[in-house]
Amino acid sequence: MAKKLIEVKNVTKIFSSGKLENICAIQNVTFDVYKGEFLSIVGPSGCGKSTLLRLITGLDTPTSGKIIVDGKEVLAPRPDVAMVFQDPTLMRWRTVMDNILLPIEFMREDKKKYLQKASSLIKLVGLQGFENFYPDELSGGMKARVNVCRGLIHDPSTLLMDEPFGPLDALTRRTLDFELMRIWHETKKTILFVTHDVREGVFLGDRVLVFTERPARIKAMINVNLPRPRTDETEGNKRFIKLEREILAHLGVEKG
Amino acid sequence: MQSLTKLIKSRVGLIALIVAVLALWEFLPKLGLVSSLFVPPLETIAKTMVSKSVLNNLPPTLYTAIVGFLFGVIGGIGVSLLFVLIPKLEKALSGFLYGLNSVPKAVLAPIFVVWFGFGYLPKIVCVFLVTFFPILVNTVDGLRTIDQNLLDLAKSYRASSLQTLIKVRFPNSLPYILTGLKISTPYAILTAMLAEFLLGYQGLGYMIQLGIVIVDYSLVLGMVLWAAILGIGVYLIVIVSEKLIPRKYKLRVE
Repeated sequence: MAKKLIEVKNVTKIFSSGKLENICAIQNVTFDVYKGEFLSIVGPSGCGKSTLLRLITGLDTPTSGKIIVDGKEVLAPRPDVAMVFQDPTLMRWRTVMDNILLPIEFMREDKKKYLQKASSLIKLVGLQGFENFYPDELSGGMKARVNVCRGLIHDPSTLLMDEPFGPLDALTRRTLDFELMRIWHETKKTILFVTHDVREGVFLGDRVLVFTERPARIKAMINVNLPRPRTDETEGNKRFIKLEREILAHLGVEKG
Repeated sequence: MQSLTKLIKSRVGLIALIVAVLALWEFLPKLGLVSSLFVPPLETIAKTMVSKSVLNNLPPTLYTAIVGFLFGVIGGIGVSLLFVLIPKLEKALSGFLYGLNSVPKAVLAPIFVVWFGFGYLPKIVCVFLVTFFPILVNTVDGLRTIDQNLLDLAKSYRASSLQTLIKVRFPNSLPYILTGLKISTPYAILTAMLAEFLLGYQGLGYMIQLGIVIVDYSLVLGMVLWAAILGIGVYLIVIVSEKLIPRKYKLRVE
């Protein structure tokens, strides 16, 4: 039986804003994530998926409930969990290489030890030759790739990805989806992948966690059970189509 | 060369205006149409401007301006870093500092003489103050105007405030510091001359005062023209320096 890496127990998050009402972003959410699993998280826009990821990363704390990662409760950011944000937000004054090595600097480790790793990550995402380019010289897709490399540089056991390919066009997204799966196969990390694209969620994930609108509650946890590695043919698979329909129905969207 | 011709062509109106003003300035006093006592002809003013006694007073003004400016920049950046690192310090001091900034330097200059004696120091302190504030305000702005995502990123790797300051905030603030420099350099020159005007005994500002007292308006106007030339010169230095800064540090790339 696979080991539980992340346990989210009865987590609620309420934001008190300056305005009149408090905003309940997440309500009483409980689920587990298994080690080495690729868990897709889908839900309507603005429902609280990002907030959940922030709680698991430790950037925020739950109003009630708790989150346990690798046996230890999450109270602050920790080195074994890395977050890949929706907006790459690269530092415009640093090269691709220096942007990727940024976490190493923050962790006060020796950059030289990670040069090799950075180079192989750059190669892995297909950005060889661009090591010394600056962000304003890169396309959106390239920035997203740098974002992923940055998340992987210090080899976290868990990767939390918040719609990392969101703003990109469908073709680039498809390419990056395949690249991500390749990385996942090779590195065997635990990945939580938030997306608004149901097709992408089913395509990538072992399971799909479906959220309701705000305040986010769990609508369903769906086992994908499709053969790996996923290929171009997967999307034609009957089960794939059925799953996609099922999830869209949960989200209240009828497919013609 | 082509771009210079283009430049001249586009500014034909301005150039014509300047030539006209200069011509009027030269001939109206000489023809007696304007009092040559209070509006000396351009030629006389030009001669005074390059006379030995005037040129000897150029270095003191430059020295006062440059030293005060450098301390102002270092102080402004230094205090802004402290303010961002220690918010309580900012809360405690900023009221006092902004109040101090509102006091005209003309009023403070005589007080500084009492504290610091005659000589360069009171003038340098005046220049320091006019440089310090624009740099401080702009730098704090630059240190704080950051995409929240970048700050979250730093937080997610448990970066300390100091690390965030050095690696994230400070590089981000460089374009803002540049703006502060653009604002404060002309003021540095002007304030140096103002302090000299008030406190006397050397420098271009002192020459203005002298010119009024001995009723030599070629001296007075000559110093005003020198102020304009220095101000433009200093501004050009800043513009050129801006071009030398690596592209990666700038906000807008033109």
